[in-house]
Amino acid sequence: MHITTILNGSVLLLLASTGLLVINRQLRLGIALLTCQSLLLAGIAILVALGSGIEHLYLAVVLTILVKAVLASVALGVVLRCARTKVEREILGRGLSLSICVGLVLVSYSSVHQVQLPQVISAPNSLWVAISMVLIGLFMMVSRRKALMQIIGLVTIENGVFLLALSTTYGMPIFVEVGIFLDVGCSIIMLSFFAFKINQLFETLDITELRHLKG
Amino acid sequence: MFVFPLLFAALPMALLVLLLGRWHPGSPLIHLVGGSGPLLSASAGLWLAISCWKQGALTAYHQVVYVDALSALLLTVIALVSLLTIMYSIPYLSRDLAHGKILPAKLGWYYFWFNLLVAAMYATVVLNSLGLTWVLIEATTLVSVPLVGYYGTARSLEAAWKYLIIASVGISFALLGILLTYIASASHLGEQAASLDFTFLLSHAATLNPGLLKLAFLFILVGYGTKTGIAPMHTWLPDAHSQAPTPISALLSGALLNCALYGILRFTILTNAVLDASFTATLLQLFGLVSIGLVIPFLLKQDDIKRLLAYSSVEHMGIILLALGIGGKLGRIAAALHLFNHALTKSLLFCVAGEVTERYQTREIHKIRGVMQATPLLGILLFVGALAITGVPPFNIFVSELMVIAAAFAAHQYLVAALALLLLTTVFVCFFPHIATMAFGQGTRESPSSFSEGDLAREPQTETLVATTIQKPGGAEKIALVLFAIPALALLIGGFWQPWFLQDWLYMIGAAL
Repeated sequence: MHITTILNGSVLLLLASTGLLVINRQLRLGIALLTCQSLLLAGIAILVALGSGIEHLYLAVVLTILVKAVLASVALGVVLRCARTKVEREILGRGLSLSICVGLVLVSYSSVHQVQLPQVISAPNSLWVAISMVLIGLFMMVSRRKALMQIIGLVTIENGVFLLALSTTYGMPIFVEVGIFLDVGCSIIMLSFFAFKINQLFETLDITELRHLKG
Repeated sequence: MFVFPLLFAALPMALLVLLLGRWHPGSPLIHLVGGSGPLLSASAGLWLAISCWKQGALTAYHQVVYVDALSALLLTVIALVSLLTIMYSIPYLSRDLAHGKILPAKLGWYYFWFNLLVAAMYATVVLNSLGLTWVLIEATTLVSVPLVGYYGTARSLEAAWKYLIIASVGISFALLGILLTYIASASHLGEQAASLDFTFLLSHAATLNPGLLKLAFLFILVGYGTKTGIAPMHTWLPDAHSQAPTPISALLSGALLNCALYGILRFTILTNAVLDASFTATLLQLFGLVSIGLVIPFLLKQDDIKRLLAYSSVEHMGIILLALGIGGKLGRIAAALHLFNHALTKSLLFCVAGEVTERYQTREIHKIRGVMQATPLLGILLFVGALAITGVPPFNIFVSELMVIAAAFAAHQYLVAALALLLLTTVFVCFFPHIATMAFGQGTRESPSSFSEGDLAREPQTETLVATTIQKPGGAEKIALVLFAIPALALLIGGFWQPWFLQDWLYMIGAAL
């Protein structure tokens, strides 16, 4: 198969996995979907690295797998194991969530054509998919009530930014890229730690319990 | 350059203090080792600031490090505020330890995170690459969150979680801004590591795509603005600053907010080199005025002394943005001076307020009365700090606020000047009575029913005169008070007379901005 077809296919799969995250209510499945998303992104990065011959992208691939797939699934898995309820009650219905997401995708699709961004990889869909991932991640962070799903939303945002960097400039300069991965790794650990503490103290991962500080 | 390694002396000290905390939990040696890191770093930071003032902007390590007048200002602020807060940490934590509020095993962790935070803040302001600056600003969030949640209570966990989540989202917006800048730079100048260096970008400003830079500035302003506590993205700030241990509140308000603000200032310089200055000016003025105006109702109705001070930080960050937005030479100098003045005044006021809450065992303003009568020195410091922070003459903040208004008049922006005057007066009217009643008010009879959740005490007290529940100061606290008196004097002197080197220096910063 032609490399462009594979690239385009994986980018669309990436969007599909993000869409599934939005309608999913099982926390365990959420972690699995996030891992899928990160691995797909690593796969896309490998293809781009092969196509362009830029060596530092391989480092980004390794770091994506280590930080956003392995570390994230392990850390979130530990938090989940200690939690009592592993299913999320709903704030918004699935239909409404999904239609908001479709709206966000349309917004990103139209906004990409207004800003002239250069595109270095041969997957024309990657730009608007990247921006959709950022917006959908943000939407997950404001619409979900479980701490775990907020962390997943944050990593989705980071994945979107990484895809955007990959498709416009072959990723950020190497030192900055490594620094970003270091930060993402540390924030996953820190967020999981605090989610763990919240679960210990409040006996739930539901962040709507956090409402004492006001005014 | 031997000072650069010394600037990060806090890093090895962080590890050392952690090991020490493992071996001898709660030992007094921990204070000594934990305090020496910020002390060494501060001396290097001040040294660096002075050499930058003498020689102008300097670069080192193949352009990785870049220190100009703006960095020097931030280095000075971080050094002074971290010195004040680390010295106050020692009596503060000793007392918490003695009262059983923290376990001896946790003492090492406090200094570990404190040292890491100090090192990350210094690194933020001396790096040339905008990308690495982003990495370090995110790092300051990560290492300050454990300090916000240090007490491990339900409320401090809530504050830490909100801080972590909101700051992380904000910072990912800033990352998009950095990426857009890199796109603008790399598409003309090639994908190289230097393409994100501030000096490199500034010298190639003419080749950058203005449309992309516009978008990038918006993302940076909103992203770093979240971390700076600019309204309406400030919602995490009062929670985090009120729940942290008091020395940390002072450090966050005095130094950490300014580190994120530094990111905005740096980027404003770059954007102004590419675009017409009116683009950034409008946005900065808008966010500045909104920040000052939006806190007014919260100041008015506030009953928690630390939240009161936290909202006041939002207001002052707004004033700095406003000054920068008004621009002109005077406006830029006013922004630099106000940044410096606010950092000193607010960190001092937080420490003083912390002493007051420790004496009265509550943060609720209506339960704190007659500080002046009970502990005169503390009362005077509280009153002086409040006068200074609200911009009353003859204190230093009056000078910088006056400069902001004067800059607006000089730039013929009469509407902005009038709005700023009106808002600042309203802020004074809303803020000052709280402190005045705490300092001079009479002790009131309290009934147990009015005892609510904000109280620091463990069990509800029976009917008592508030004035009689004051705890007498011990030796360490007396030393802390003398320590506070030094910056308080500086605030007063700063209002009358600015030494010639400070004026020189301000002109340099004004030129750099």
